Amino acid sequence: MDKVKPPSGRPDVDAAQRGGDWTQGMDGEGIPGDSTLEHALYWRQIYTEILAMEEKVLDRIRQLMNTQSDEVRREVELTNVPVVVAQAERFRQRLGYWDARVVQLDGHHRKDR
Amino acid sequence: MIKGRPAQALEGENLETKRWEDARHWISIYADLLEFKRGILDRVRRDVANLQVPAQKAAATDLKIIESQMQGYQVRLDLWYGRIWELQGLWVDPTGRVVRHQGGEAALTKREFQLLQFLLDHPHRYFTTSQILGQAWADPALFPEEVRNYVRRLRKILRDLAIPADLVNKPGRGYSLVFRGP
Repeated sequence: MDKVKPPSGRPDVDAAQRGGDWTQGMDGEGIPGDSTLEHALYWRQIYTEILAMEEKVLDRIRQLMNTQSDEVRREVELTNVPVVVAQAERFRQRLGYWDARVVQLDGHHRKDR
Repeated sequence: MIKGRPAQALEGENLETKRWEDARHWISIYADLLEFKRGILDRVRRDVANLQVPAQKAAATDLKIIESQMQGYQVRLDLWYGRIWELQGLWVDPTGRVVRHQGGEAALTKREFQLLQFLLDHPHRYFTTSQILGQAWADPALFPEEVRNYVRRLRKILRDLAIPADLVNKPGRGYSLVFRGP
């Protein structure tokens, strides 16, 4: 975990750093390679839900941006979109780890992807 | 690439401008940004509530980011409101509790001045009677009728000095000082 950096005091910067760091899991998540099937299923569900949420938020941001002035659009492009995109990418990656672990343990592929 | 910059100016923004229109422009930009982020914040809050606990914790980051950005925009908005009052020629003297505007002058009572100062410091935001009692006067023991009485008196002062602002009252939201423009 040598990629983990101390908080900068700027939540959006911290989020962007975390977003770029796919090794960073959630509290209590553990390592996919060491997990049981039950644990892997649980975390796959967690990441499925949060990824869906981030994607919906990103869609909503982009939808709302269409009706804004140039200044507002530019600001949102700089301050919100990259953070949400980075977060979503991290969650997608983590979901991939757990998905692979479920398949490894159970041999079942996710049907809802 | 990521910008975390509460209270920092946006590209092209210059608080030293002498143009009233610039001030109005940036007030409108920050008001739009606040409205935009408020919409996103509400959406994220609703969605986060449906997540499981570990995911809620991870998603709380999004909420913190948006809240911190909104605080920054509010600071800039308040700075621009202060600037627009300067450009408008409004001068407020807390020592003598005097307000001057374009050649006119009025001496205010302590409570009148406290209320005006409070509303000037928080323009375009609404405050209920109890919030005004507690925050503008720091005396929640006063009767709500007192607020209505002082609002009437402040409206007269605004009118007498031709200050281009309305002390409006919206049901369910409270009172707000709304700049009208020259």
